[in-house]
This record gives sequence, structure tokens and C-alpha cells, in this order.
Amino acid sequence: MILNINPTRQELIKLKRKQKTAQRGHKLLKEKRDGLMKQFMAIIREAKELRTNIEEKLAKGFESFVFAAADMRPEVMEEALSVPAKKTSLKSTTKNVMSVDVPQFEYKSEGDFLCYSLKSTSSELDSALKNFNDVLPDMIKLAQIEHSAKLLAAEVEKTRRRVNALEYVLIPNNAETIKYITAKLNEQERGTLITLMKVKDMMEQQEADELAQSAEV
Amino acid sequence: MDYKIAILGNHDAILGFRALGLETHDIATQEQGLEVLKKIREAEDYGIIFITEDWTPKLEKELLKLEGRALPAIISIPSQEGTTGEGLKNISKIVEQAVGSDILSNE
Repeated sequence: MILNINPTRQELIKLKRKQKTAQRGHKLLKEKRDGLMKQFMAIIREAKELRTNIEEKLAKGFESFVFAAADMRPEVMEEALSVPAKKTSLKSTTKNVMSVDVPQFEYKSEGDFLCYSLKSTSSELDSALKNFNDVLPDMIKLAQIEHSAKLLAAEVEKTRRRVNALEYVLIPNNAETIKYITAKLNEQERGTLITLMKVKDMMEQQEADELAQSAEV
Repeated sequence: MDYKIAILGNHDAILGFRALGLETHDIATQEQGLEVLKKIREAEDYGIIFITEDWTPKLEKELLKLEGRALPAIISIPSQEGTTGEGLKNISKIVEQAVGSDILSNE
């Protein structure tokens, strides 16, 4: 599609400059897309594996927890877990991957999860909590990886759209318009040249006529 | 800065995580869940939010508002009734968004 601008030399210069920027941007964005894709593929496989793994372990944990809950009176259960002795803290820094801020979690825990009287609780509870305790670091790792993948995917999509818009719309349109303006300007130049030649011919003719007339007299 | 880890779900499902030092939020109704998520969104000091799979579809409205942020990370986990496949479906969705088709599904 030819852009709707005046076919003048000034516009041509402007357009050529714009085209150059667009091509440069296109190249850079393409590289960014490839880089993002590489990062994305590296973590998504890991995320999938980790998730399958965790789902299995958690299912087991929940199962024993349900058994424990069935074994004990709800009030006792509530009481046993109401004051956790274990403290978890999560520190988060962000890492910049190809202009996407992805979180990096650092997880610390203090104390033991056994915060209740062993006498009044079922032993099933201990194993359930142990299961949970074992999965938790993995869960946090999964959170980091899966969330990073999600953020990267959004960025990949955005970048791909930009690359395509540049590649299939902006750059061809500009190129076509540049071609059109150049042709138009050349045409104009030829037109002027012809007019000039014609004028010169006419003037020469006139001069010759005048010379002939004066010779006659 | 220290961030909090929250876990959302049915009372019975998440009780066990309280002993591990996570912040548990019981949800019994949809309104309650949306309310909790809204509070989390406004507090801005949560690093990770785990939600049991049976609740994620019901809370989608608020979850969408939290999408695209660097934090918190929202992760669905299976509930005590086992996995519904929601989490893996979510991963497929992410792959589809990035690549265009789910290239990991038949591995």
C-alpha cells in the first residue's frame, strides 16, 4: 500500500530515514524474539517436569493429611496447628531476562514443623506434614519457574507481533512508497528536461528567423 | 524485602500448610475468595500465592487482574481430591501463547 504523503524530495528523505530505523528495529526485535524463545524453551520443560512431580507428591501428602484429619477431632486438629513453630521467609529479587523482570525467590525457613503435642495427635499427621515440608521447596521453585515462563510467554507474544507488524506491514509499505516517490520525481525531472529542450529549440528557431529577416533587409 | 507466601483453598485442604509457616486463607464461597484476592492485590507484599485447583476457575476474575505482574506468582496446586489437570493445562496454554502451538503435549 502506498502511503498517503506528498511525493516531494523532502518527504522522500524523511521516509528513507524512517525506513532505515524500521529495518534496524526489525533486526533487533527479531534477535530479541529468538533470545526470549531460547530462554523460554529452557525453562518450560523444567516447569512441566517439576509440576508433574509436585502434583504426585502433593496428592500423597493430601491423602495422608485427610487420613490424619479423619483420625482426630476437628478442634484438636485446629488447636494443634494454630500456633506454627516454623517460620518461613521469602526473599525476592528480580532478574532481567531480555527486558522482562522475572522473580528469583530465595526461601528460608526456621524451626521445626512439629509444633504440637505428640500425645493428642495422630502419627498420620506427622507424616502428612513431613510430606508437605518436603514438597514446599519444590513448590517455591515451581512458582519461580512457572511464573517466569508465564511472563516470558507474554513478552514473546508481544515481540512476535511487533516483528510481524514491521516485517509485513511497515517496511513493505515504506519501500513501496519510496519507490513510488522516486518514480514520480524522475518522471517530473524528465518532464522538465523535455520542456527545457523544447523551449531551447523554439528560441533557436526564433533567433534563426530573426537573423534571416535582417539579412533580407 | 521479605514477601509473604499465601495459600488459598478449602479449610481442610490447606490447614496442613499452616504448620509450615505459610499464610492460610480459608475459602468457602466465591465472594470470600474474591475478597481475599482483592486484599492480596492491594497489600502488594505477597510473593507467591498457591491456590488449590478446584478454586482457580471460580476466582478467574480477580486472578486476571494479577496477571502480568512480576509479583506475586500465582500457582495452582492440586487439592485433596487429587489433580484435575488444570495446572498442566495451564502450562500448555503458556506454551501455546509463546510458540503458537503446544509442542510439549506429545512428549
